[in-house]
Amino acid sequence: MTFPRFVLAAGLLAVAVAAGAQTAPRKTYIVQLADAPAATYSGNISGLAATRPAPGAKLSPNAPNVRAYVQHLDIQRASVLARVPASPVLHRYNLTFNGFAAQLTDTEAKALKGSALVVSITESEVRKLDTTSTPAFLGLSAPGGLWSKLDAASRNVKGEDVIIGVIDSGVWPENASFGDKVDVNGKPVAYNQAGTVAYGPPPAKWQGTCQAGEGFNATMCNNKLIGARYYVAAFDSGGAIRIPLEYASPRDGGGHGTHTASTAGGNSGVDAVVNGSPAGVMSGIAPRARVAVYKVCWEATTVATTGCSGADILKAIDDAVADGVDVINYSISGTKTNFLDPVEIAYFNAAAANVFVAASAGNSGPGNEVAHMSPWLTTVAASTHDRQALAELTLGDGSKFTGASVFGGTLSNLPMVLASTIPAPGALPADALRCFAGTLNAAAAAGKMIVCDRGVSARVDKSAEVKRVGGLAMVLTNVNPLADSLVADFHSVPTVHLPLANRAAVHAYALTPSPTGSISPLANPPAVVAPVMAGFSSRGPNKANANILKPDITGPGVDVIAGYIASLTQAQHDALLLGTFTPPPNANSLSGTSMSSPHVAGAAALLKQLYPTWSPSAIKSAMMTSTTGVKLASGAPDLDRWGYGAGHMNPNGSANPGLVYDASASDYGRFLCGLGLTPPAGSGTCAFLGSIQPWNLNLASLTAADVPGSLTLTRKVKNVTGATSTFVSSTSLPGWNVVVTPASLTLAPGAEASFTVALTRTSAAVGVWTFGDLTWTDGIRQVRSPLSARGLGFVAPVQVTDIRASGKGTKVFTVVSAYTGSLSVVATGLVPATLSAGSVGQSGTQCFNLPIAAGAQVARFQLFNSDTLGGSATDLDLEVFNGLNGTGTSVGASGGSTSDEVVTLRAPAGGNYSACVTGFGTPQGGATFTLSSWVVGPAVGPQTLKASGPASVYTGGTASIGLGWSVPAGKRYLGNVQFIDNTSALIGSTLVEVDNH
Amino acid sequence: MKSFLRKWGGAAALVFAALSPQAQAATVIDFEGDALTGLYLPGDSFSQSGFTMTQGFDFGTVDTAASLANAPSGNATQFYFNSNYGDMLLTRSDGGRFSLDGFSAAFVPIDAQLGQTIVLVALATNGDGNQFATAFGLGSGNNGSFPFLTANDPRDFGRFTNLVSVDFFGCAFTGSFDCSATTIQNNGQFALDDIKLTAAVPEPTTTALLVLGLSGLAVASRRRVR
Repeated sequence: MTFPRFVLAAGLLAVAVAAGAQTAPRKTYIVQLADAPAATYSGNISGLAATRPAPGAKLSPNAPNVRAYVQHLDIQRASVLARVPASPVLHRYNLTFNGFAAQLTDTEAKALKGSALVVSITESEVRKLDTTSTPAFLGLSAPGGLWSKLDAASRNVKGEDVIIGVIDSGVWPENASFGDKVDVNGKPVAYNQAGTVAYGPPPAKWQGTCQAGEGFNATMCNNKLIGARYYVAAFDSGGAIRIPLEYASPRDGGGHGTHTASTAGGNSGVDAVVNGSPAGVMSGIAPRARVAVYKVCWEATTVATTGCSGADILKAIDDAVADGVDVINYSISGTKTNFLDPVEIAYFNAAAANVFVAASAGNSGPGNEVAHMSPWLTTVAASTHDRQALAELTLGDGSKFTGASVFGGTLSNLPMVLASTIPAPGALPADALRCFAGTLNAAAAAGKMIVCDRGVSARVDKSAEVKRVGGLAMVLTNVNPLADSLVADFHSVPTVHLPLANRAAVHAYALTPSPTGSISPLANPPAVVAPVMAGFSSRGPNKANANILKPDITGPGVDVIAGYIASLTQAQHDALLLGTFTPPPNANSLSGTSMSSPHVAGAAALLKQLYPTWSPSAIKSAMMTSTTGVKLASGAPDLDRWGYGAGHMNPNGSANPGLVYDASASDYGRFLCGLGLTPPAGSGTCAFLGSIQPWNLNLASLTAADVPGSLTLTRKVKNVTGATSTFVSSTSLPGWNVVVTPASLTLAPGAEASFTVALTRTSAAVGVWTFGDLTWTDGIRQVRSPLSARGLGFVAPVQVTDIRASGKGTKVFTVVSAYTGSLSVVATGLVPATLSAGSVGQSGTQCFNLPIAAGAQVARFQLFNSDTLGGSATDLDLEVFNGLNGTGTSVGASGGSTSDEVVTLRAPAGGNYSACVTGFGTPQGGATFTLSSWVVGPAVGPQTLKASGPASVYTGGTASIGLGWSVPAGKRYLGNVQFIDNTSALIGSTLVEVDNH
Repeated sequence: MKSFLRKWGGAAALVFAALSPQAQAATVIDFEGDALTGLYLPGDSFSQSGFTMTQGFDFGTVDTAASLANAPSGNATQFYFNSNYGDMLLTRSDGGRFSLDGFSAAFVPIDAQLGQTIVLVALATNGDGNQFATAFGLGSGNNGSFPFLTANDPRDFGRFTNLVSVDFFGCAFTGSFDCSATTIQNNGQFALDDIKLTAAVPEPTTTALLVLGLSGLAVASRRRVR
């Protein structure tokens, strides 16, 4: 009785949908709970031993103390979840984040806020993926490069036994980058090919798993790709619909994750074939590292919903740390302003568990949009590398042309033909000239080098047509002077792309009898200027706190060739799911900070092999103090630090840094406390930790955003040379006097010492960043830190207010000086408010005219809830014009949601002004109100406001300014204090508001 | 925070025994009253209970804690505040002699980067034309709000008799005293209240030995060129 059952099922479905429609909508929230996650738990709960790992050690998720503590967290979580029994729970977090992700209604979210155990409730956001020859460019494969060095166990430093976790879009396991075997020639092969095993079992610290799913099974993991998991619950709960070509498994649906994973830790010596076109040999930066992938990013049916859910990401971080990874690569977008973003907090705790995290700076450059600005992350910008993308076309008559080409080989004396002369039957010669699909005559094209014009169809489609008809090569000529760029595409046949200037000569030659052409590498290739910052790479300064340098470092992120997914038909995809089809490997060239971040993750894996006990901060320090310079396209040095932070990564140099600047979770906690933020539970309370100024966090970068004349920064370094060494400091910072105390440090092996760096602005302009360096050298090593400072001019508060009812009073406030010398303090006022009564109805406007004398210092127009009928329930708006009755130009407006509105004009030009009040939300019958207005100055005769400062102010010093007045009580007054320096320049002013009514 | 002031400088225990019992009813300058509220510029003076307070350098105010951004705690009414590196000179309005018996005071730090401990110095000039000074510790540190502390130990104040004037100002103490403007900059701020005075003039006992200098206290050198 199949038919009735279908009817029944349909009926049930309809009921379920109807019931769903009646319930309140749910959104996915990340709920953070109060206790520390296991990565930082310090043992403060009676009966539960500490779980945080010792310095340099890993968290052991199965250790009895960790299990006991996680059980405690489970109980706490259950008590919170009991408040919302109907909420679907998506993820539970224990190690790097304490809490859970759940689908909550607004009411349930409010119910959770009432729990003392709940710290924060954050809606899970969709994050975006930030979209070889780089090991050679980085010097790793050069003689004497880091790959040729040996670790303590006499193994090459290629990431041996280091585990890189890649939180991304999964993996394409058919790429040989992820195989644990090699063929008879020693070349890596993928899991599905025969070979000799080249890797031992995973390191003992590995606790992870290989999660099977669509198109992915346990045989695809091996001793190279040791782990694979996927996370989709929160992504699906957000309403996104995965594309049919996705895989509910660790298999990569987009290609990004395969690219980043193979860049960080893919095998070396893998042939890169891009869509069938050979593109050289590629290698990961740590080619012997083990790789574990955590798929959190998904291709969806719309661009807006494609991405990765924060709640899924948190679970992936939790698992990666529990699994025992040493390094995480995170090429995913993130916050630009919030140190307490859940993902940033999870990485805070991952760092506390000694996991190094590289994160992409973002692709929103060249704007000031740097993401992942937390100091515990290593934030990576993207720059170019030196891969040649040029080839030479030599014609049979000996003439030579240079064009763009990724083809690195040689083709000699192929017969040549202009495409317009070999149209397919029925095809127009003009279409054939542009090598449109199906327009070439196979009989005439086979075995030839075909000259095609650019335009209309995709460039790679033209070479596909050449290949289809049996052509062996293509010469692509530009046609349009407005589109005369050269692009080194991955074509289906070897191709040279030539500019418009060469078109006529090449076409004419191709029409001569028996033309031939050869493609070869350039005999004398021009030097490629590299690295140059990519335009798209997000720039600093740090928008959350400019005293923390971001980005930290740059690495190759333009035209990076690495593993990719193969393009499958839906039928192939479905066959793959059925296990009846094995897809091919693929590679691709991608650009983005997503591509540079795994370079740094891989380099961190190399350092982790060399120095297994080093903290993430020490590894980051070694990388930052060993960087090399970045160039402009002209070849001149790029002096804008906001592009690259410390500079370009230099893994060879980082292996022997000399000194490191280390920082612990406690230091990062103190930093947060200093910003008035609550550090993640487990790092300790601010009362326990204390606080530090952000410029004193022990980073390898020294950055002072607002120096009031002078500022002293403190740092601590550790000698990692293995021998007693004396390091001598030197500094450069144009326009600043920099004093390092002590100027030299003699340190025993492993010893630490503190020093201070006193910055005093001399000739540098106020408000402008200056970039320089602090370098410690022992004669062998250069420990170079980026030093950046911006001077602050005279700082006075915008306004001081006294609201005491008395007519007599004083007020003392402070200013910070940028010079040493005398300071004049001139007071004007106090001026009582001029009161104008008015009334407006809904959308009505009433204007009040007011003349302002030349030389006025300030004019203010203000409405108060307390002077308005209906109070704060009435919404009046205020706009000021430099003409009578609302004419002229609007010079200021205030449009808040109540009747508290204020417009302040500083140094207004003399003339007639009008202030217009509009009823935006008034009671029935309109609202009566009183407009207060003040014009302060020019001062005539004695003033009721007196002011005085100190006999002298000091560079960088704070000083008190005193005010005194004696005026009738019961009014609102306005005054102004002007500050004049020892050169008679007006350097600041402070408004004085006395409200004694 | 201790509820008493530590004292630097000499004041021998014998002073306590030598003090005469003939002191008359004490006067307390409490800075209360709307008439005193205000800002006092260099040279400005105000009077209470027969005594005159004259602002020296910088400025002073008489007001409640509400007037200060980083006000000391433990004082709900008006007090005198001395700004920056200023000083205040106390005399009897009629020019007569007096004795100083105690006061309450608090440190009002503004410049954390200087990292100094500030002491309040009372520099007395007596009827014999001699000057002597005692420094009072107001607690250490340079961040946060400090409480008002009371100083009234006769062992400290016994020699403050037969006075013509007392000048109050702040100095840095970093193991030794440093009252130079370049060291203390504008960090010598203090608040003062409840100054206990006696207008009667007991004959000084044989206390000439009490004129003890403070080591390193270069009082004369603190005067600055304006």
